[in-house]
Amino acid sequence: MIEIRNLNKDYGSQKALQNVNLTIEQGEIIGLFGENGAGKTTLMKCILDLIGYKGDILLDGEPITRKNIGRISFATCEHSFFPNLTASAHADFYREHFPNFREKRFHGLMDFFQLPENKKLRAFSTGQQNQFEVILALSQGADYILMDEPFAGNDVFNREDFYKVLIGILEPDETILLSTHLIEEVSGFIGRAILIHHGEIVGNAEVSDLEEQGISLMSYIKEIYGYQSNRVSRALADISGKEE
Amino acid sequence: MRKKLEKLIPPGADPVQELCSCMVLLLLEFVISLTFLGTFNHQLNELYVYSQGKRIHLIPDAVMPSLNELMQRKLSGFLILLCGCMVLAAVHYVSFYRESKSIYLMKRLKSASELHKRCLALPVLCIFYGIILMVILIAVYSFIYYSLTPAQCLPEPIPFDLWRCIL
Repeated sequence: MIEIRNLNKDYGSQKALQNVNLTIEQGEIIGLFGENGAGKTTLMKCILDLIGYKGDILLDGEPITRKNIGRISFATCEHSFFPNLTASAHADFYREHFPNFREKRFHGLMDFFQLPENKKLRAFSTGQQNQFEVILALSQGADYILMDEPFAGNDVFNREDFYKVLIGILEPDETILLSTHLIEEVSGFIGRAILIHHGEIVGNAEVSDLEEQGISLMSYIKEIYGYQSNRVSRALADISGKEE
Repeated sequence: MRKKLEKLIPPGADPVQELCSCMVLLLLEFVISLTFLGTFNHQLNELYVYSQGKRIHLIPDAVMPSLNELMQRKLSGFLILLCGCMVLAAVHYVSFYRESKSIYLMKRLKSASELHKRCLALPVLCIFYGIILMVILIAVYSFIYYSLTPAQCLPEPIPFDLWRCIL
């Protein structure tokens, strides 16, 4: 279990995260939603101890250090692979540094996405690079897999296939924290939705609870964010009015 | 050998290119030091009286400049090697932020030293070989100086000044 207590992060005078309290149970699949700059990436980087923060982040009661960091993997749209290394050389590197590296899953996913094993990553297309980034995160052998906008740049068919594969391969004790803007695409795949706005957690709901109440994930998110459905028609009316 | 070297440089860096950079720095240190031979030869010739291009005899009371004077800045190539290795280490660190953020992966490794090992190992090795080369060059040039300078022309012995050779 990952426990986040009173997490605060400032970038100079700007508050990136404010008093975030969150618990992520092992085996959950969580969608992390929020507008650009809401604090999704910052939250993930804090969990991974990539940036400094105030507060406590515990993994099974222990602070996250080099000792237990291997239990968390990270797929980011910024990419964390080595551009001049081939895919198979990445597997060698992961095998050496992560004892639980999932060899079979790595090769299975490489085959599924038809990615070349002996080509340098810099020669991959952006879509392929995204796929490979996710493959590495899933193959590391981590209990907690953090994904930050992993499919930015991939086409809809590709993403759909990926969700299907993901659901098929995940083991019950594997946890996913997925940050994305593609709310509708992942709504059938996640178990819990966490909403973040201006660095604060503003929503935290089980998707099954929402379904029981007859509320779609998109409606829930719109309600939390106070989305005004007549906003577009009002804006269009204003614009047309000025032109007349 | 290649596999071993690959573990001492940033993942994906070309081991041949990395090795060549170090060889160039070591070669530069060696080539710059060779100017000692020209200076020594010139000063040695200055000790003699010549007639029709032939050495006749030693100039009475002629004294050879000290080894420290002849070696002045002849090992400045080591300083260039030192700077080159610092730049190489910096380039290694920067490589983890270029084209991707592979630094995120390095920071998630169990071994905190892995990042520094891959950035510093080769520059430190190069500096180590640079020091060995410097010691060998000092030994060889000292041998040349003391064996080829006529005994009566040798100056009063003074301690060897390494910094004068480098700076």
